[in-house]
Amino acid sequence: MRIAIVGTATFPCPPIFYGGEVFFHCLSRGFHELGHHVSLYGAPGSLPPDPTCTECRLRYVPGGYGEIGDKEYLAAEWYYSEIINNHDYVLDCAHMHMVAETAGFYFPEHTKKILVVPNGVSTEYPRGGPYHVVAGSKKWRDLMVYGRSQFYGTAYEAQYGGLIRSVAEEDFSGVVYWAVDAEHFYTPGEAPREDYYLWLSRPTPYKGLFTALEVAARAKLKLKVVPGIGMPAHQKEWEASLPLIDQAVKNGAQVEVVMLPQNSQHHVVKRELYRRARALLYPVQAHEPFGLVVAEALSAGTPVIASTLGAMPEIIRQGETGFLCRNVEEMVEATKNVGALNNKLIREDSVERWHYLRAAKDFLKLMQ
Amino acid sequence: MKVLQLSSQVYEVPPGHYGGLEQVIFDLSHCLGAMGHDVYVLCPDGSKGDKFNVLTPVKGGLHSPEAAAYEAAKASMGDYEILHGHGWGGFQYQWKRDHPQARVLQTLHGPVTFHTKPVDKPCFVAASQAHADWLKWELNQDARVVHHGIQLDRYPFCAEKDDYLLFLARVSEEKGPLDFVKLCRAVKMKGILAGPDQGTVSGMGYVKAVMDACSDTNGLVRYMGLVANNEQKVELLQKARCLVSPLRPPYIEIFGLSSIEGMACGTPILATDLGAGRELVVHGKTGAIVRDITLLAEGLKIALECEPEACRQRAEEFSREKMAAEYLALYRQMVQEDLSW
Repeated sequence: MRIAIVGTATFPCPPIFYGGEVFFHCLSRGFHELGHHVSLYGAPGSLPPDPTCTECRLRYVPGGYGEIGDKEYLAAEWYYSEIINNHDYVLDCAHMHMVAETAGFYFPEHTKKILVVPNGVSTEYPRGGPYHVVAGSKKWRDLMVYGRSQFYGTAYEAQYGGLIRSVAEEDFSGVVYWAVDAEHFYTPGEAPREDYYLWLSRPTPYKGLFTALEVAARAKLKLKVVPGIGMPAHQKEWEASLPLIDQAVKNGAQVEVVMLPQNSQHHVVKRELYRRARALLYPVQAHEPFGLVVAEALSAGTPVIASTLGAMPEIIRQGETGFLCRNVEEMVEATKNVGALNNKLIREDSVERWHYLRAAKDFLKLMQ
Repeated sequence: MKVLQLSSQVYEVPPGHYGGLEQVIFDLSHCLGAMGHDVYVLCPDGSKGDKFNVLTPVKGGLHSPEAAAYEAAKASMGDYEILHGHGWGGFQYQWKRDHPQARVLQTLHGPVTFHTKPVDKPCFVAASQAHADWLKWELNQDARVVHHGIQLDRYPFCAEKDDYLLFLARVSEEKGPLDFVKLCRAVKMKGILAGPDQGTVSGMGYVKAVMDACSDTNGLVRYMGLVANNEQKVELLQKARCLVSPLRPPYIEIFGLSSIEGMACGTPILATDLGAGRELVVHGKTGAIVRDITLLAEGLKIALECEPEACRQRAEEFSREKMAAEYLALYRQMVQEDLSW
């Protein structure tokens, strides 16, 4: 089959540092490794799925680091007919869903071709277009079907809103769990574990840095705080969180801030942080639709201590690959029990489960 | 000495990513401040510096709110010993009219055609001898030359190279990005083409042509667009075998900060002979300067032979400290000898 993957205008596929676009690039490699021809439409900096394959193609679309403007519409204008006419399937992963949004106008008969892969629960989805939505987890699908945003029923509801426009259940093609380059995290094998815990995420408040710091303060842990910064807005959020760290240190936590290099060393440094950590603390305070960092940590054999919100119960096996906690007390308790988990078993369990080939196969099942 | 620097009001000082003029103002003001001078910089909202004072009356942008910034700061301009302009708006004339006692100088940061012919005896500063020559030829206007400088420790030396050529400039026709793609295909070397695609002369249609040309090489030339931060830019410069600047006439490069940054990272430069290139690059030692774009492949052979250490040595002659010292000497001369108008 000829499959087009349309990435975002925001970050390249794969991103040079920050960005969930890493999944779309993994997916393009997965389809290619399963014998399909892939065309990847990615922001500047993207790489072809396989440079040696003459059937695979890479097309750059306008955009750049942190730019979400209307550049995707420019890309739609430039490449729309090429994408829709030359491929058997189109995975529309763009923020604006450039192909799906315009398809209804020009090619309403293409009802099976276009799969919309939303980047998040609150992503605006196209209405009335000939498309099918593929959610990254069951929770993700349920939220969209019932018209709930990821902040529904959480402390952030008043701030960000709890409701979104719902997607009809019949517009869903199915659920395909997102995946990572599991081998990148798996391959180096076991490293001696050091005595630190890890919090690694975008420093947006709902990602739960303050909870992780509270756990570290109560249990007197060593916590490495690693902010994911991809654009100026994230930098501002990070600067706003610095007082929290000072407070946690006063309360007895040992906090070390690690800034990831914003160049090609980014993914290597991140992997080394995962490989040596006792556990990843991921006390996310809203319904995280998937949680790529959780899959990355598990692939490196690192257990995850997470909240029960969002897709966490679907990703983490309670008591085997991590712990799902309802409050800070349970998290503190979990840090005491996490040493009993077997890092090797976590790695073995995760490398197939969160491998991009598994995700590519799942997508192909939906297409047939 | 109490100095006011007037920036262009387009990008912040220092710039977040693209913006050579703003970077030069930052480095100059920082060094003057570190020497103990009282430096004020009139620049857009969001600017910051710990060695100088920031006056930010306006929000920056490509709509160029220079007039508004000037209006906001006009009343207090008599307090400064030196008014140093960097903008595009030609406000040095208005300064002189509003404050006849002030010592005014203007560093020109762009092509000579941007500026009207001056009416009197102004103190213009050009970024290179080529720039000054152009000014003389076009407007019969004399200008002093102060070469730009960079913060050298921001561009650490690296002798180990990856196997790719680098293009780092606006994705705009005069900078020759398509010639860069052609060069990479001709010599069968990997290439990275990076640079901002907005605010260019050629428009988005040309950007599409460049992106498609890169796409068609199936990974040989990687189109990067705007480089998001300095860390990434430094890595690109450090690991490149050669930084290529295939300028096309009638463009004249008045300085070429990226050449200095590249050489500081130990990377030789290949450029066409339009403007300041030959003042910065020592042909055969830190890169190659060729007559036109048809000779790029031959020039590349020369550039690839150059030693990274020699490149670094050359770049060290263009430090921001040296630039600040030269400007300071000029300020002093202006005060003592009543230069400027």
